[in-house]
Parts: sequence; C-alpha cells; structure tokens
Amino acid sequence: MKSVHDMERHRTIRLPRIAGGMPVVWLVIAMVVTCGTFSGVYITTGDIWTAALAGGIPALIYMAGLTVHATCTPASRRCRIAVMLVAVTVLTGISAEFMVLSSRTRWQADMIAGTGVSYDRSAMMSALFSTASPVFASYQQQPQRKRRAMAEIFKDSWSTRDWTTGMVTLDGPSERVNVYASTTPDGAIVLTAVAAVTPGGDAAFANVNGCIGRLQSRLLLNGKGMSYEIEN
Amino acid sequence: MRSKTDFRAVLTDPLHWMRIVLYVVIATVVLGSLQHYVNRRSSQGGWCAVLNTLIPMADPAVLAGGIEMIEASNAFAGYGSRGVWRGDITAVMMSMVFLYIVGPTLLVWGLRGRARFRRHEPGTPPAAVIAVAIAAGCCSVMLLVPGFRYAYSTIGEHERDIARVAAMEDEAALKDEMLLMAHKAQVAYFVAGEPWQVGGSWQMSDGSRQPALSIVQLIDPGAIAVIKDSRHALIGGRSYELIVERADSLTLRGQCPPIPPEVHGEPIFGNNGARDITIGVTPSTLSLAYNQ
Repeated sequence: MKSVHDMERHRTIRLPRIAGGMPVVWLVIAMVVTCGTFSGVYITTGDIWTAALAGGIPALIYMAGLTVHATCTPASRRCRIAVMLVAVTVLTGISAEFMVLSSRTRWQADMIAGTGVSYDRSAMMSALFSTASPVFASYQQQPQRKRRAMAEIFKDSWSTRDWTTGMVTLDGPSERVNVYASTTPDGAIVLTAVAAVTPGGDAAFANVNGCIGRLQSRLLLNGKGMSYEIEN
Repeated sequence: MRSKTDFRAVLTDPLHWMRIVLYVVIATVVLGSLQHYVNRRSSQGGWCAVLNTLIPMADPAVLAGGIEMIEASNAFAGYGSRGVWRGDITAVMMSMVFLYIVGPTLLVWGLRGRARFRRHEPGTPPAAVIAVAIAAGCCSVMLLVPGFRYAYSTIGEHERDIARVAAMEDEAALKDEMLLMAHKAQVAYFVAGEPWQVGGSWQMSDGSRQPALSIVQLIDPGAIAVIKDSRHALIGGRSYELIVERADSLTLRGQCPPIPPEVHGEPIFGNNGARDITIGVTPSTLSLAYNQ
C-alpha cells in the first residue's frame, strides 16, 4: 500500500498536460481562420450578419472537432454518444439562434428602410404639389382672354432665382428632400424632387442633381393640370 | 478559522477557480488593449474602450443584431456607416473567438487535465463531468427558448396593435374628408330651383348647370391629391369616387388602402381588410354607410 508521501510525490511528478493531446496549433488556426473569414467577408460585403455567419462556419467546425476530441478515451461508448447528442443539440441551438436573430433583425432593418422610403415619398409628393398648386390656381383664375403663360407665372413666384441656368433649386420641405424646377419649350413646368439620402429601387438611376440611385419624383405642370410620376 | 490556499491544487487543476480568474484577467487585458487600439483609431475615448472591454463576453448574435439595427437607423438618418470597421465590429469578432473557440477549448482542456489528475485517486469520472458541463450549457441555451418565444409573441402583438391603430386612423381620416366633401357639395355646389320650378341641380365651378360635378371641386384646396379624372382622386393613399346620379343626388365612395388581410394569422378587418365608406348626398341629407 502506498504511503501519503508516495501519493503526493506521484501527484507532483505526473502533472497533466494542458493541451491534453489537442495541439495548440489547432486552436491558433481556428482563431486565425475565424477572424480572417469574419474580417474578410465584412470588409468585402459590409454586412455584419454575412460576416458573422461566415466566421461562424470555421468556429462551428472547430467546436465539432473539439467535441469529438473531448469524447475520446477515457469516456465510455454510452457516455460518448450522450455527450455527442448534447453537443449536437447545443451547436444546433447556436446555429438556430444565429439564423433566427439574423432574419429577425434584417426584417426590422428592412422595415426601417421602408419607413424612410415612405416618409421621403410623402414629403416629396407634398413638396411638389404644394409648390405647383398655387401656380396652377393663379393660372386658372386669370381671365380667359388675357392668360399669361404658366412658366411666366411660375418664374414670377420664384423671381429671386436665376432662371438662365436651366434648372433651378427651390426650397425643399426639409434637408431630406431637394426640389428642382425647369421649364420646357412648350411652356410647362417640370418640378423634380430628389431624396438626399434615401435610395430608390434602381441603384444605378441617375438623378437630376448628379446623385446616383436616390428616390426621385417628377411633377409636370401645364395649363391642363398636373401629372405626378415616381421615377425612382 | 483561516483557510490556506492549496497552490499545488492550483497548479495541477486546470479548472481551479483561481486559474479561471486568471484566464478572465488575461482576456480582459488583451481585449482592453485591442479595444483601446481600435477605438483610438476610430477617434473614440479611452474610457469608452475600458467600458467596452467586457462586451466581447456577450453573445455575438445579439451584438450583431444590435449593430444591424444601428446601421439601419444610421442609414435612415442619412449617416452611412455600413462596411466601416469599428470597435463594435471587433467586439463581434472577438466574442465569436472567445465564446465559440477559446472558451470551449479551455473547458475541454481543463476537464481532460482534471480527469488525468483524478485518475490516480477516487473522484468523479471525467466523462460524467464533461456530460454534466455540456448538459449545463445545453440547459442554459434551452432556458433562452421561452424568452425568445415571449419576445416574438410580444413583437407580434405590437405589430398587430400598430397595424390596427394605423388602420383606425386611416378610416377616421377617410370619414372626415368624405363628410367635408359632402358638406361642401351641399353648401357650395348645389343651386336650388327657382320657387316656381322643381328641385335644383349641382353646378360646375364655371357656373354651368348641367347635373355634373367634378371631384376636384370637392377636394380641400390644401390637400395633396392625385386627380385621376373628374370622378376619381387619391388623397394620402385613400381613393375617392364621385358618382352624380341625378341633378340633386350624388354618391361619394371612399376606400382606405388595403391592409394585409392577415397579421399573425387573424384578419384585422372583415371583407379581406377592405374598408369602404359610402355617403349618399342630397341637398338636405347625408347618409353614411360602412361596407366592411
């Protein structure tokens, strides 16, 4: 029978290996691959969820390998199966959490973007009609025989603007919407509203103010009335 | 009685509480330095870096969700930040590394080391320890399920409430506008017959007495409207139709924009979400009917 002194000596001599058979290089490789995948995908796509899901794949593979390693000897077969089942459940739960949260927050982000589009479209429509309506009313109220041209009335109402430049910037309803006006050879007025920040459906659409892909609406005002059109 | 720390146990047991504290201190120092470096590059304060040190200990999915919402809000406000590497992006990456790679590895190494240590003396079987540890983790994940379920059901209820309130406001606006239009038709555009003649008639704004009326005449001049023709107009997404039936009676029909018929499995309104209001107008009467 071993003495207490022998036990203590035995315990001191046989210190467990920290790595436990799992090379440290595996850990380093997993960290590097995960960080590299995550940062590379994020820098390329700019989407946090795509980066997180891409970075999660090597992490998931590593965790699966770690689970296999953890259930090696000295565990019994029954215990290994039980641990595997539990590990699969946990990994599935983590994956499901990622998928559910990503779809949910993306949906919420889309809703916020949609709210921005609705808000700006309403502001653009309001700005165009409120600019055009008084001019149209002034035009209609003139005597039939002595009617001034629509463009003339409009220019008078914005007399401080320089109309020689072709397109004139009017006062927009807010910083989010810019309104521009121009005249056509047949005397009609073209009012165009362009959103300052909100993108429209066509990302390559060329806006009248030089921006690309922003919301844009157009209102044509002539003696017959007004026609409103969403261009992007 | 004062207990003495058994440093031999600390050295031999990888999962001794003092070693776990040491892991956390090392992780905090490493992460704090990294956060400080990243935040200094993105011109944030050093204290912010210190406070953010423990963020990578959080769930990366929750952090990523928060960032997604922040970026969506920034885009709404006109501040583009998508694709820019910031401190919180680093936090997501580090939390993935710590929670999914370093943490489990340390746990497994520790358990295996403890198993080797205890092989020479009676104690808990190592496989059972691993099973208990993973089962504890599994239970903690499963404990989240009711929370998620509650959160989603709450969000669903809020969505339904918002849709209902918006629909009710829409319907109220429709009714108010139609009553004003009907009143305007009665007061401004009906010319009663001469005392020795019968009845009267609607008149156009130019004074012509044909029994016709354009919807443009009835719309509030300040309203933002899209006029389709003399009978149809669109105001704020609500469509209006004017039907002049006789010289002294007309019908106004209004319809709210369609609401998705089903939100979380139940229709908000009958008739597939359509809400129509009809007002019959004569020189002296108004009759309002809901068609839902």
